[in-house]
Amino acid sequence: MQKREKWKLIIPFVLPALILFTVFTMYPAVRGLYISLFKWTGLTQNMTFIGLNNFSKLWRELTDPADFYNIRLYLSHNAFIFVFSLVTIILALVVATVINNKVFGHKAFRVTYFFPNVLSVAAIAVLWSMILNPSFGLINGILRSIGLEQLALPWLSLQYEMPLFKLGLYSVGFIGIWGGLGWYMILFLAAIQNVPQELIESAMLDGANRVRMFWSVTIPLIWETIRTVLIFAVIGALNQFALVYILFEQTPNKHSDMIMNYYYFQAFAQRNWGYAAAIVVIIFIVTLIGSLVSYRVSARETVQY
Amino acid sequence: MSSATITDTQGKAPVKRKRTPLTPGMVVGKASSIIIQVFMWLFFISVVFPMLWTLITSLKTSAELFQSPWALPVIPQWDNYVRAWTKINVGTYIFNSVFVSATSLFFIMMLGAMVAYALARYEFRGNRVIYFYFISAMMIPGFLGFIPAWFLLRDLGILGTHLGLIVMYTSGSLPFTIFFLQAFFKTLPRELEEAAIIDGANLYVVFFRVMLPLATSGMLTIGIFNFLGVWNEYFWALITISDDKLKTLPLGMANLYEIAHYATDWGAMFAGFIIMLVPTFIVYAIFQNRLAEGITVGALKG
Repeated sequence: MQKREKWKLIIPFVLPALILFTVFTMYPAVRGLYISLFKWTGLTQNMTFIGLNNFSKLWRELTDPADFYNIRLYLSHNAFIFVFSLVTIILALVVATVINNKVFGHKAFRVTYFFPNVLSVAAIAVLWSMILNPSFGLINGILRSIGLEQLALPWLSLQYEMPLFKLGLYSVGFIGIWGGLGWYMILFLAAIQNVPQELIESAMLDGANRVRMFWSVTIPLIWETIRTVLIFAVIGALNQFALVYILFEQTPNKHSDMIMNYYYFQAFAQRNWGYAAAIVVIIFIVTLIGSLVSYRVSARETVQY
Repeated sequence: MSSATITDTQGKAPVKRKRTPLTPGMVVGKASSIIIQVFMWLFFISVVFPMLWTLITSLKTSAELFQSPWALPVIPQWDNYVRAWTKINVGTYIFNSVFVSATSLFFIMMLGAMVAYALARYEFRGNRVIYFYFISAMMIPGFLGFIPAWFLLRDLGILGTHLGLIVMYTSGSLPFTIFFLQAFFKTLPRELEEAAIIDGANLYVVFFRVMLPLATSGMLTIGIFNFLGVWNEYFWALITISDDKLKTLPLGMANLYEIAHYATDWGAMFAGFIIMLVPTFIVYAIFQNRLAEGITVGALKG
């Protein structure tokens, strides 16, 4: 092929996307790092360079024991959600193993379990605010109809006391399991199906029962996938925003807000752009560290097959 | 291992198996298997039953809503759907979402496929650099650029418009689309392309008439994946769109509860919810398998 001829295709094919992507994705991301070094509020372009002051303010919020309602509180909510993600991962692993064994109804399980993952977060939030509504909600309706009136709680209440956090935040965690299980299950199923059949057969012949197979064959062989999924759990827990925002009436709330809600409030309500930019830089760094730590913690010899 | 040994052990298998007495370990195993079974059916019900419940409730009067969740509506209130459509603007939200998603998807697939094809099939200076430039954005969270992008769109005068959404959705979806399609184009055979070039077809015709039809399967997988991403996108729409006439479905959905609460029209809320879910239901029913595929590639290989 002629050299000139080649460029006639490459340039018009690559350039439009390259320009669009540079202007609307790459440039804003890099500039996001840059503006975190400025004091910048309101709708003007007046920015004052303040170095790392935004970050030292965040550090004070994180470490000052007197200041209770601050970034530390929001991060504790994220951590709480992360615990639920870990539960989700374990459940998904079990479910994927069972479904992979082609139990009765495995196709129906697969299709229904995955369904919540195609819903928007907004749809999940609205659906569950209907299900958990204290007066007409499905859960309390069922509890009343079977005579368990005393268990009919205000599930989305941020006043109702529970260990560590309010009841509403526990509900958020359970909704997270409902919405995330299918996604992890699909990933684990794909990984399990990559395990060579001979290995499973030979383990069966050695007399391993299902539980042993799960621990000694399935888990080691899909360990790489588990590690990847752990990173997604870290990212997912730190990116929580919409579920809490919609469930709790789209206003800031110290008992439910996550770090991204704080960012949203600082940026798009208070217009503290520089400070908000520093928050997302920190989320980005915490994500990197969290991923690295979970990757390290889960490190072990890779099983070859 | 030779295949002979495998057949050998398999042949012996039925003889080896003996009925072993119940050990404590097996009892635990049995119990946990029952717990797992129960959990799996409960989870199944937790997905299916709320859907049925919202469907049935959407046909109830507000008074019936506060009675038993098992009761069926005495007279189906189809009027709930009429009010949802007219008073909660469900029609407008659906139209906006269809418009924004379809337009974004067209540009994502067009631009993404063109770049992916050029990178997969042509060796040139900077090929790898451009590839990694696009792919690197898959590591960068989108929220890092939200504030600068907000100001950029404001200065360009497209903040709060559908164009503002389309531009951001297209740009943000390019990295994964290029990553996926570049790998896909590499798996396609070169013979057809070369034959077409020898026949004198120009390079553009080869791409649009020969390569794109060959890539239908890959385009479909990544297309569905992108469609759902754009269709469900919430944050960027939230911070840019304030005009109610321009809001997309997730924004309309989020406001559903507030509107219904304000008007105490719960029937219309349930009906509106059902209408807003119909497109997702249809897409899921048709493309369930492709979605799983796109997600697996996105998470495990990306």
